[in-house]
Amino acid sequence: MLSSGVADGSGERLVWSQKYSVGVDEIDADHKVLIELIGQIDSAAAGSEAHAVIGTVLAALFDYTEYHFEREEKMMQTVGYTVLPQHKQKHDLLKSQVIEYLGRYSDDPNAVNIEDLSKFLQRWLSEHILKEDMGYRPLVENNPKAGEAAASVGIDFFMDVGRGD
Amino acid sequence: MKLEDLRVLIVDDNGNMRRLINTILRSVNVSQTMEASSGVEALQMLQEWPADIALVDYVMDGLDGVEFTRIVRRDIDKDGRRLPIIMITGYSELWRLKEAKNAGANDFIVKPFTTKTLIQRIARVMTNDYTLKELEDQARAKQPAGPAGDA
Repeated sequence: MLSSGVADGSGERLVWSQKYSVGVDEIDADHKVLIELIGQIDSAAAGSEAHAVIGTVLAALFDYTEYHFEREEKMMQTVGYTVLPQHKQKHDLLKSQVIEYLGRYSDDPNAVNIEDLSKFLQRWLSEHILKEDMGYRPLVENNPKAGEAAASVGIDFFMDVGRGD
Repeated sequence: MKLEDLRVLIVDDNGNMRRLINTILRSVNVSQTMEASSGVEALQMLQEWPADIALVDYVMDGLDGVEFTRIVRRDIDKDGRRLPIIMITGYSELWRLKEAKNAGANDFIVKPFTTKTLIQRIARVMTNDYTLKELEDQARAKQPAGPAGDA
């Protein structure tokens, strides 16, 4: 059950609030970006140039998800979070799902139900933060090493030419 | 100049795309951005706000990206300072690339694009001030003499 009422059919949009805070500013900031990007899918679908905008949102989501997961996994490793392997499996599964959506969308935009995709992503992120991410919170909050580890993966991540065009 | 210190002008008549580009830029800590919904509005903004780079939609009602670029090169650039311009378009036909190049654009991005593409192109343009036309002229000058073709 979704405690946030997110994407549960009520039409309520996922909005970041304190209950989503994991106690590390860098990770909270990443989650806010992901929530903002997911929130732009619906409006893009209703606007002009929908395919170009949605395609770019999905690509941005994938890029930022990769970046965020790398930061988060580095942090979990640094603080000795023993559930990291299982947590990473969930990250890898989502990345493969987003790649699959991206591929299907670029092959045929009409093959993807955008409303379902938006709900899926909102539900996944909300549940993942509240259930999985909160598991590491006791180890990372008020732990300066946690923020340092997350911040050690900076925006140079996006400059790796092997990852771009 | 560091990426996060850049002042970026986003020019697009599609509000969703403007907002998305802004979100992408803020996600990589570029927080000094301005949005213009038309070429005319962008030219007015440039009088007051010295952008370091402009991301400009190719197809816009009224003043399009190509005409905007021509006006910037003619009327806005001064004292040896050129505004780097990256043209963003949903079309990838060669004639559009040539038009953008001849108008004085520094680079060209086709929608949809990835965050990595956007950031890497911005970094490339900011470290290399050449326009697409100058880059092509340089490449042509390096080629051995032979049958000429305007690609």
